[in-house]
Amino acid sequence: MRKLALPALAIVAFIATWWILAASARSGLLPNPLQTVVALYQRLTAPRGFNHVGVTVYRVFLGTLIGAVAGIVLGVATRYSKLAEAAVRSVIYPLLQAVPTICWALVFVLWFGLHDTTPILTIAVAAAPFFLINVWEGMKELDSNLIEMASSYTHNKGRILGKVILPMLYPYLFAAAKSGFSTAWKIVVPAEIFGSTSGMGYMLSIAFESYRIADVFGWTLAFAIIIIIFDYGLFNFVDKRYMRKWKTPELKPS
Amino acid sequence: MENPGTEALVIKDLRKGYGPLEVLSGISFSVARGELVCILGPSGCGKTTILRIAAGLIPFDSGEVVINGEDIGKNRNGLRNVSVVFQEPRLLPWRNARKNVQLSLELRKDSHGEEGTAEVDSALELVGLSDFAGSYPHELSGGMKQRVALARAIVTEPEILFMDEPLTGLDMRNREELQDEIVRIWSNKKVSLLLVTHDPAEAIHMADRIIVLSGRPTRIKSIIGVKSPRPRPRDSSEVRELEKTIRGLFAGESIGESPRR
Repeated sequence: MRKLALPALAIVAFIATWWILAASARSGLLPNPLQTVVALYQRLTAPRGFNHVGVTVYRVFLGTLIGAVAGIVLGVATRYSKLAEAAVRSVIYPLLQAVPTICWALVFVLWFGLHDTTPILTIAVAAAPFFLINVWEGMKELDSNLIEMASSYTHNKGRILGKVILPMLYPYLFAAAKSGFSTAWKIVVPAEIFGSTSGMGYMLSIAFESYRIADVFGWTLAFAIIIIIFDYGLFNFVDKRYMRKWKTPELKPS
Repeated sequence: MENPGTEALVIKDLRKGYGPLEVLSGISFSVARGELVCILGPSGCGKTTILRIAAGLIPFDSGEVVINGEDIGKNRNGLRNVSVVFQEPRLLPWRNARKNVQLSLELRKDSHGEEGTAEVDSALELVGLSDFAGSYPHELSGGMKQRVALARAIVTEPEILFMDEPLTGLDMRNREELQDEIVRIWSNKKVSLLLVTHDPAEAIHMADRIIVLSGRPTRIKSIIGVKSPRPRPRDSSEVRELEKTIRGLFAGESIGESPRR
């Protein structure tokens, strides 16, 4: 109980401060917590309200998944091909790093219009570098003893990749997924503002354009809640439950 | 396929160099089916290199390596009948003991489906770890981990088992226990065994024949047969006599001290 007391106090203090600031702000500029929650509730219960949440979650997942597959494939390729390593090192990674995500979003709007593809690809491009750099780094840190052991049983590279190398990369993939998702949730907002006519980001821009401040706060709160559930809930759970085994290094006999 | 004959492993005139540095030259010996042969030599003499070449893990420059009648320089079919136990256990930390043993079957197998659970269980039983099947490597002692590695090697039913100083990392008690255990498993499985060691006492205790190597460039100094029946006593006039002979071969060279009891 004592462990929960301080965090609870901090949250109560935050809400109280918000309330006091809202009360002292010029009317309508800062909705108080209750007004924010009510606004969000009204938006969500409006026709197609929850659809906007669903479509955003879908885009974040699909975009991150596409970025993950692309990043992992490229990262794994660096191990098996010198050409792939050179391409990743000199072109692909710098390009992904140097071009602002908003520029990708604008280019995708020009190419695909206001279609699902635009936010999904924008998220994929934003998430891919996290997977690429982590897998690439992980590939350099692989325990060559374990790979030699595996290759004493088979010469099938695919089997060694699946049974030994990819599992060895799980901690790197986990770190990549955490950063990738976190970025995806942030980038989905501008991606949907520029490139979509649905989703939470689009609703946020509608609220903004029609100067409905409580709605802007409401959708922002929705984003915050979803990200907190993800980051503190899901990833912490997976980390505590499953990643323990990977972090234990095999001790050399002494 | 040639007639496998009575030899599990034949090595003829093996040469291996790294650039101008000649590591091995003129190495020829064989291991008969069901024989236990130890390679003994000073550290850094290339004894591990011989084993790694024979296990198909590194290439060689010239000569012939024939496993079960198949020349591994020509195709790798002979290597299907080989398992290796390394100096370190090399277990996957995310798999428990049972799953680590099962790994070699998964890696070997060309078809998909249920892995041989019965084989895994009997391999674990053979190394005395049935009660630890669900334990993860970090929960096992050094000796237990090496037993898991041993079970992983024998579960594929190899014709020939290569062991690269498998007991070097262990303390005296574990070493002697595992020496006897390896001999027991070898005779139980009727497998051919080639074990690399730097410890004369270990070789004398375990081997049918001891291949004694020189320092670099590595050549075979002598091949010594050990006739005494098993189980062998740790200390007897015969053991002391053999150890004296072997140490005599290394006059002027450093051979690993066998730890005294």
